Amino acid sequence: MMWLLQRITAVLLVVFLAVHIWTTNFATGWATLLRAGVDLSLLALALFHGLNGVRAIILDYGIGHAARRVLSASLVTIGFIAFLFGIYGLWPILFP
Amino acid sequence: MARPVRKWFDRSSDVNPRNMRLGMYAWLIQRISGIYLVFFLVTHIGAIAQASLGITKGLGAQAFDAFRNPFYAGGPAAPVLDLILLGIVAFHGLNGIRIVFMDLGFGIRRHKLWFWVCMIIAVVASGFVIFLGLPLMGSG
Repeated sequence: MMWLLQRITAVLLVVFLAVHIWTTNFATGWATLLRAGVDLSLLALALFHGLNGVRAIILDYGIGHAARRVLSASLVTIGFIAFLFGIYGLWPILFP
Repeated sequence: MARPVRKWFDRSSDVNPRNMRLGMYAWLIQRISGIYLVFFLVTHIGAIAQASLGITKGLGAQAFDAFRNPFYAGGPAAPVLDLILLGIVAFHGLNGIRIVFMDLGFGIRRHKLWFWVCMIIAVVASGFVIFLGLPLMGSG
C-alpha cells in the first residue's frame, strides 16, 4: 500500500514540480489560482513522499516491531504539523 | 539488522565499490538525494513561512538560518545552491520515473540504457529551467 502510494505521489510530484517552477516564477492572472492549488497539493504530496521515504530507508535497516509503530506515528505527527504550518506560511503568499 | 559501518566495505558487501555497478549506484544516489530533498523540504517550508510572516530577527530566526544554509541559502550562494538543487531534483525525479516503469515491468532488460536516457532527459529539462529562469534564481 505504502509502496503504491509512494509511486503515485512520485509521478504526481514530477508533474506538479514542473508546474510549480513555472507558476512560482511566471504566474499572472488565472495562473495565480493554479499556483495556489499546485503549491498546496505539492506541500501534501512532498511531505508524504519525503517522510514515507525516510520511513522506508529506516525500515530497510531493520528495526523492531514496537520501534516501527513509534516511527510511523512520529512521522505522521511530524508530517501533519509540517502540513498545517506550511499552509499557515503559504497562505499570505497565495492569497495576499 | 544494520551492519557496522566498517563491514559495509567488506569484500562481500553490496556497497563495496568493487561490487557496485550502475544500478547499485543509481539506488545509492537515489537514496542520498532523497534524504537531501527531505531536508530541503523542511527548510523550504520554514523559509517560506519565515518570509511570508516576516520573522527575520531573533534567536530562532538565526538558528534556523544556520540550519537551512546547506539546503536553502540566501545571499550570494543562493544561485549555486539552486543549481545544485535543480540537478538533484532532476536526478531523483527522472530516476524515480525509471523505477516506476521498471516496477510496472517496462524496460527491465535494458535498464542501463533507460538509466542514461532518463539522465539525458534530466539534463535537458534542467537546461530548459536554467534557460527560462536563471535570472530569477536565488530570489525565492
